[in-house]
Amino acid sequence: MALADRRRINGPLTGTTPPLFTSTPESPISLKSARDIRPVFIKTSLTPPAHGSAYLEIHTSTLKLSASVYGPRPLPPSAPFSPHARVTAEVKFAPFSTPGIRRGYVRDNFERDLSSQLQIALCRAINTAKYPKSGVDVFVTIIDTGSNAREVNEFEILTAAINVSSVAVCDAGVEMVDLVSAGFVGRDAQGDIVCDPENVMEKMCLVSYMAARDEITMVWTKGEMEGEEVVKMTDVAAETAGRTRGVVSEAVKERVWSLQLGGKPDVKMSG
Amino acid sequence: MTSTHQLDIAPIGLSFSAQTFQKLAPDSYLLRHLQRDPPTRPSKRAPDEFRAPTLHTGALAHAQGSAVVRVGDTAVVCGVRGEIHALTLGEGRTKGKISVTRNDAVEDEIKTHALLVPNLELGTGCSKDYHPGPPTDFAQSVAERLRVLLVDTVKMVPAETLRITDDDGEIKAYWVLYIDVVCNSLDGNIFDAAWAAVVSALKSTRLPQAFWDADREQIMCDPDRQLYRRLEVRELAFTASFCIYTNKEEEGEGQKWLLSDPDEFEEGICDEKVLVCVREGGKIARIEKSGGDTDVLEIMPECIRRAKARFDTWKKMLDSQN
Repeated sequence: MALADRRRINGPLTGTTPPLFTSTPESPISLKSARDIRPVFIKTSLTPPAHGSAYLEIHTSTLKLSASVYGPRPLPPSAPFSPHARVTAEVKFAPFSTPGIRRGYVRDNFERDLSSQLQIALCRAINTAKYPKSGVDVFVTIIDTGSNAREVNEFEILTAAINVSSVAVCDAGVEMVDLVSAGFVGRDAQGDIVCDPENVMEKMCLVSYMAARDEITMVWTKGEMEGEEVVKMTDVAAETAGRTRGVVSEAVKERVWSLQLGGKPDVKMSG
Repeated sequence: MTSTHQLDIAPIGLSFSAQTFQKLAPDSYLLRHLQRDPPTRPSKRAPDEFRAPTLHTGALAHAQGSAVVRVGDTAVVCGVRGEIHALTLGEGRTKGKISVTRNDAVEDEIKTHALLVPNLELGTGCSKDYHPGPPTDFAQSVAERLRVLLVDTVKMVPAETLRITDDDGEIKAYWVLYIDVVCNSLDGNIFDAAWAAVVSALKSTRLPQAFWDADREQIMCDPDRQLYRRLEVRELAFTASFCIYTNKEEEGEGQKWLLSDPDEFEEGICDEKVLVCVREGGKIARIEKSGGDTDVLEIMPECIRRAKARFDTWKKMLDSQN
């Protein structure tokens, strides 16, 4: 067992093992058609202390994510001068969110990788030139991962993380070039492209896309592919992202309406 | 007299919006609210009013027990995961065994083997003061207080329910429950919310049926969800936190208000804090009081009365979940 983290409460010194089952349940067979994408639910402002926040759930999956955004806020005095806003992103799994082994609290390389990908996807969508000497910090917590897979589907998680952060950044009132939405596709054993696959596949492609400008902010692929195949998958993934865009815009619209209807009256008070 | 004088000389331009006043003079901002008739806190609550909680259990797929608790703008998620702590160690010649003498009268197995492991994570962007990374002193102290309350004071989970025995009744392993509380949104009084989440998550925990496989010499579990058993929870307890605000201005100095379920703003101003933990039957399990010079005998009956009422609210809420 690795050296125990002294700043946390630890279990038995000799370590523990996750329960070993006599048989592992098979991943259920996906019932959705290859073209469909699963319905997404997004709600804004569930973390009132943050400048902006959003929460995302996928119907028929147990994936649950929350994002909170702080910014634009001044950079610490120690930071060097920056003419643009500095965007940081942090993806963290809750210890109880994944199947198999319980996740530790210390950030691992997988989380670091997802964080930097998310940062790249968001950075281009934020109008950073508008906020010199400022920082925009995005925090994403994965509360639960999808139940359909025995292993964690990093493409599904990153897609959801980009969508939820995009809404949260908008909720914070940070000026954006365009809303960014993400979609991912996989190529199954028969060689067909499946939009938003429920199970992990050998070849997968994720695209983070700004639909109104028809611009791609990030592409992430996995598996051995020919040049043409990559183009094909990127196209379908961008189209999938375009379809998710509707939900992202709707969440923002809902928020704007609630602001207009339920705006707090400004109470005047004198000292 | 002085106030009229001040009013006369105050230039008309010097009036602020409520938010500005709150930032400039947080102390007087709270005081002016409390001096109103009836006393009202900035959150529009009465001093003895708690925020209405919401509670959901069993929402997470990969945790054996879970609860989502929301109290006003404070929201926490608690997940319980059971892992197995085997008492036989190593392979082949190095194989050793931890022997356990069972003593039902003195239940110290939970402590000696660290079978309950609560932790609290605040670095999730839940508030602007906490950043990802190692836990702050505050997070560590809250986690430790949760552990003390769970393991030493209330003893909610009996050791028997965590034992895994073979056919002869010999203890082969234990279930270790990792109880992780992740704070999603922080607006004061994290302890009450975290504790309620821990209690509710434990109450909803179902562990797989575990048995000693003599051939493999290890513990195996049955994947059949029908056979999962509910974790035995002996006794419920809930906490209630309070802040005491003392008027420090010349006029009416020493006047005190007891504020139930303080939010982040109130917690930042008041240095006197009280926590009362009530268990079933209205028994007091724990009292904590820190800071300030309020007469304990004077203030405590009121705290206990409010804490008992709060216990009933939580209890009713938890009962409706199961």
